[in-house]
Amino acid sequence: MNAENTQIYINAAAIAGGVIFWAAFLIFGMIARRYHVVFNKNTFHTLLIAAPSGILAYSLLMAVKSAVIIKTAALNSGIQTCAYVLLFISCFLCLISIIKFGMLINELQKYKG
Amino acid sequence: MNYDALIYESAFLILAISGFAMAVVLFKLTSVAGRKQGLWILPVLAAIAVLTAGGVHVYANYNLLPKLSVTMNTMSTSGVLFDAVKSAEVKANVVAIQKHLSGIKVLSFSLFLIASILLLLSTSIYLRWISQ
Repeated sequence: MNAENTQIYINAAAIAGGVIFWAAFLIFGMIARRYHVVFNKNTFHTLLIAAPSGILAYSLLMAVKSAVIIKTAALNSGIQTCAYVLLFISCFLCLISIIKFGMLINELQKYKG
Repeated sequence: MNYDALIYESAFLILAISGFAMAVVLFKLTSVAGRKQGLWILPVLAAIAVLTAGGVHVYANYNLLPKLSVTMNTMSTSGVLFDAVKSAEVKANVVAIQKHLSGIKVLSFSLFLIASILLLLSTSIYLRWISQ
C-alpha cells in the first residue's frame, strides 16, 4: 500500500468507525428507551441517544479535513482539535449515560428479586 | 506537550471504559431478557480493541515521533550533511521510521473500526432479541 492509499484507508476507517460507533450507541439508546416504555422509569435514553452525536461530528470533521484541501495549517489544526474535543465530550457523556442506565437496571433487578 | 494527542488518547480511554460499562449493562440486560448467551463478550472485545488502538497511538506519539524528529535533526548537522554515506544512512532511518509510523496508524484505525463493528453487533443483536 503506497502512502496515498494508506492515507485514504486511514481516513475511511476513522470516518466509518465513528459512524458505526454512533450507530451502536444510538441502538443502545433505543434499547434504553424500550425499558423506559416498559418500566416507566427514567432510563436516560435521551442522553444515550444524544451523547454519541459528538462521535458523528468527529467523523464529519475528519471527512471535511480529508476531503477539502486546506492550505492553512492553523485551520487544519483547528478542525482536528475541534474533532478531538467533540469526541472526548461525547465519549464522556456516553460513559455517564451508560453508568446511569446500569444503575437503573440494578434497581430493577433488586425490585425483581 | 501535544494537547491534541492527549485529548484524543483520553477520549479513547473513556471510550474503552464505556465499552466495559456497556458489557456490564448488557450482561444484566441479558438476564432481564431471560437469555444467558455471552453477548457481553462483544463489548469487552471492543473495549480491548479501543484500548489497544489508544496504546498504539501513545507509543507512536511518545516514542516514534520524537525519534523521527531527532533523526531528522541529525540530517542537518554538518557531520552528516557533507558525508554521503552518513546522509544516506540517516535518510534510510527516516524512511524506516515513517514506514513504521504509517503501519501503526493503519493498525490503530483498523482496531477502531473493528471495535465499532463489535459494539454495533452486540447492541443490534440485543435489540433484535427484545424485539422478538
